[in-house]
Amino acid sequence: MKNSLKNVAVSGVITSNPTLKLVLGTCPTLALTTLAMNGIGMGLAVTFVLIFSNLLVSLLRKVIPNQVRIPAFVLIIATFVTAVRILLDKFLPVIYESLGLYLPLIVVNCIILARAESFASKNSPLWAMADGLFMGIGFTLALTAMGAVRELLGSGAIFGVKLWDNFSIAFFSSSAGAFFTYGVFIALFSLLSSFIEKKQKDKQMQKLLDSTSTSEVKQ
Amino acid sequence: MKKVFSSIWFRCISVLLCISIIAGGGLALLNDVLYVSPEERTARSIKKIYGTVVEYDSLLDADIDGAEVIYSDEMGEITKVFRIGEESSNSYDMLFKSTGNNGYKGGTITLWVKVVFEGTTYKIDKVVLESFTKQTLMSKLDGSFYSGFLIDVTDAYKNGELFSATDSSSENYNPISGATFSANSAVNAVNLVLKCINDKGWEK
Repeated sequence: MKNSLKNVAVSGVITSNPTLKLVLGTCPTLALTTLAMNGIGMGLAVTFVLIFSNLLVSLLRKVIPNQVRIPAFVLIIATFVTAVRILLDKFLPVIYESLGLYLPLIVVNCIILARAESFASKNSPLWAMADGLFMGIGFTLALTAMGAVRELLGSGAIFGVKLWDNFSIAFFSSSAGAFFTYGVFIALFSLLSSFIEKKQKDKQMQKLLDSTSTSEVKQ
Repeated sequence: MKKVFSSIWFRCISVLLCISIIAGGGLALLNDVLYVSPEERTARSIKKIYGTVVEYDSLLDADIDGAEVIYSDEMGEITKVFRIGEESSNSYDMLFKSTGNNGYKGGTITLWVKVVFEGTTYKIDKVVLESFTKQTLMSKLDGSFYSGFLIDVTDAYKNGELFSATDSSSENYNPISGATFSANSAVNAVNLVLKCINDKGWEK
């Protein structure tokens, strides 16, 4: 597919959504979505790392030998993850504490390595950055939505604001609740995306039929 | 020699080495510029307890005074003691950073314990979790739980008596089923503060 900003954006957020379509980065998705704020924090950290690691991988794509591309990518990713840790610890200590162990684990997040390998190493820096941005947005949106649902049902609050007193379904705050919510989100997302794809196909088919009938009339 | 420099393995090593050196240098610089000092971390912890920035006098601080610990026994160790408010006034707070031993798998729980001194009496007002090692269940609980579970035993700690997380209505009250060791560690951290106040003669 030819690169266009629309294609990259739609791919990152919908058709190749890293969390709900590609099922990548499952570990932080399951562990951190007890709160919507955690989803935003993790999402933004991953987006930062994605944008800058994609940029550097793309810039160095002709310099890095094929034999050591994976270690080189991991080195680059680890550098940006460490930078994010230092920045969060200094300026956003609350988010730094809430992300805890999962922040350094971004280094081994499949989304970042997969985008470096499959996109950034084959495209120009600008496209690589755009891909990182939209993949990051897709990841952030998915985590925030899941976090909002689990926080709402698990503790009757959203973004820390208590909506209902004495309401909490403990299941949604537990690990089992994380798997259940993730499953429901994947199912709903697949349903929605297949519906959109079907509509787009119908539209294309209609266009094709229209153009065929027009050319027949001309003949 | 020329063959070595043009070989693929030399190129691989050079590229990896260059990335490591540049990344390491950059990170070292960033770490230096954005260094969070122990004083800043302490101020953050105090802000977490009071919800706002407060002025405090460092009575004893292991990081600043150079001592390893301020007070210790088999229950654990205290590494920081701060006073908030004037000692000459009738009411002031003392803040202790206390680490309780004998937690789950020999781990520890470090708590900030806020003690309010009013006239001739003093009482524990707030307990906030700072950090932990090797704990599982208890460490997942927020500050309000620690405060609730440790402070509900209102009579036990008056006049410096040590207390346990045992409800007066029940002999074997378990704060959390399956987290007895971690609970012990938290209780030790608080009891150590009471013992320290007595031993140092800080009560009026």
